Amino acid sequence: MAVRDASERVTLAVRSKLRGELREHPEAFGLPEGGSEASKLNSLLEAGARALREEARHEAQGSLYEQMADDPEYAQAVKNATRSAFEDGLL
Amino acid sequence: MPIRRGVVYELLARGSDTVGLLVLTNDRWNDSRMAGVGVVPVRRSEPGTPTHFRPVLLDSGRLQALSTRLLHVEKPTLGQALTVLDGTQMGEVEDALCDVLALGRLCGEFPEPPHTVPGRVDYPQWAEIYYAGDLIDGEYKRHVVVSVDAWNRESRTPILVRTTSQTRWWGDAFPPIENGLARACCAEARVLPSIKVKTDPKSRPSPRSLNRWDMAAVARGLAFTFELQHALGRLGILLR
Repeated sequence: MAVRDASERVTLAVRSKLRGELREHPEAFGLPEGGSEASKLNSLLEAGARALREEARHEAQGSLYEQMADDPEYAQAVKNATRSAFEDGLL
Repeated sequence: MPIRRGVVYELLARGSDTVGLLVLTNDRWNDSRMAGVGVVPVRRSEPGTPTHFRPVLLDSGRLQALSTRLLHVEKPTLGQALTVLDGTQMGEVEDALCDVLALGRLCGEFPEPPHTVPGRVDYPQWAEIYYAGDLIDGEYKRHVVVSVDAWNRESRTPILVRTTSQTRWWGDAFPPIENGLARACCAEARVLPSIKVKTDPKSRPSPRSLNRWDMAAVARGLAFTFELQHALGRLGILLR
């Protein structure tokens, strides 16, 4: 059984220009033309949250990979993995 | 030369049947100074016994990506770019990986282990920890099997992930396991012949296996490292 997140009602100001664009061209945001304005705004919020989370994750990933690149254990592991891929006939 | 996920690169080695290597690690990893990348081999197609874990056909069927033969190789092994996979082809490779790693079952809200396989167990098993591979600093390292037992039994080349007792935070690719006492090096996931996995009960590390929550953490690490979020999305799973 799918579990749905509870929703909460919030009041916030939306820039008039953005609101107008969303009303007139929902397809430009990848949203269907039908449906209420509230559901469109909600979809936009979800998509924005996902994109920002992904962006933050990517940024964090990049810097963490850089720190890990100097790990001697990893350096040896990747050498071994490459050599054994050939020796074991996997390549 | 920038290395990109979804591109097949020439394999710079002689005497191999492999035509190229399809890069699967995400581009943050590929762009970093990490010495290696996650790949699967691409070979000329040949008729084989059809199995559940079949390769993905490329180039009008002339080539096949062995999408469940995950390897981690040094970057200088890659030569020039040969071909870029389209979304459909990458989708097939991603789906095959999700399948063999049971990500659909493990990355959901309530992680479930993959199905067990009836019959004699004479292969390294999913979620079990073994010493495996070659010596590093004079010792064999602990690895956990992340591929499903149907594959492990059929192929005799399970996919393993090295674990490390280094506990500093290195991000999604190295999730903490065993109550934070170790980490799984997900990007290093690779197939190993069963013979290189020390399954003798007398030479097993402790603990001998990971629980489903640890395996779910490893599965998430694999999904992020190999950028399988879209594939999981196709299964109705939103990775948070």
